Amino acid sequence: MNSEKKEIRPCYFCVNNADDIDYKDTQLLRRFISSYAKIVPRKRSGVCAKHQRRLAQAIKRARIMALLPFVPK
Amino acid sequence: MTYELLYIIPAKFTDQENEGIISKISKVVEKAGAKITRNENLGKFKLAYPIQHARHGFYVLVEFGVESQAIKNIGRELRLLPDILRHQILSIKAKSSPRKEIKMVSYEAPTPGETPRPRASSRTRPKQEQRQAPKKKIDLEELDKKLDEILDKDIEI
Repeated sequence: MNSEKKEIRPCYFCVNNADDIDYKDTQLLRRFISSYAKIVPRKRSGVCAKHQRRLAQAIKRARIMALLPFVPK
Repeated sequence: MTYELLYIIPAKFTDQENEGIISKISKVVEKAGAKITRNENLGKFKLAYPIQHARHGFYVLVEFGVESQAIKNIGRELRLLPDILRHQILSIKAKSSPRKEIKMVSYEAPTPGETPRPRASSRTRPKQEQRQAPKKKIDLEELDKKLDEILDKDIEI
């Protein structure tokens, strides 16, 4: 528990200088959903708050366009 | 304002019918006074879940510039068309003009054998070990030097 808090995890999107997250980029978004098709929490993925909000929005848009599933099969 | 429209045509149509639908929709968009800058069929993809019993669909991406009031009408007309399964209109920033091309991939469910991704915390750990490793080497070298010095002194005496 404690060791998890101490680790400094750089945000993937901050590192790559990506301000906007495109919902069509399914290969990228797939890395941030669990095997149960849920959005991975920040605690686990290390994404910063700003990009987590945008990421969540992009994943939800991708779900509407059937690019990502709402529920696992 | 520039906008981006993505819509899905079910894969039950022939190529000719597909082209007909694409031109029909570009007419709908142009009727609202829009200037289409890009109209591209991204290809056939497997849908992540079936929509109206369709499992595959063609994704078409349209970029256009139009006044913001017209978007509501375009959206309403597209919703009334039975030929397309879904559509989504988003405004895109003009300042990010050199937009990177992304490759869309249809969703494949993870296989049971696929190992879960390591936690972010465990991924950072090896780095710290690497940082500590060179320190030890320096220590060893310094120790060797010191030992040599002591030995040299002993010989002198």
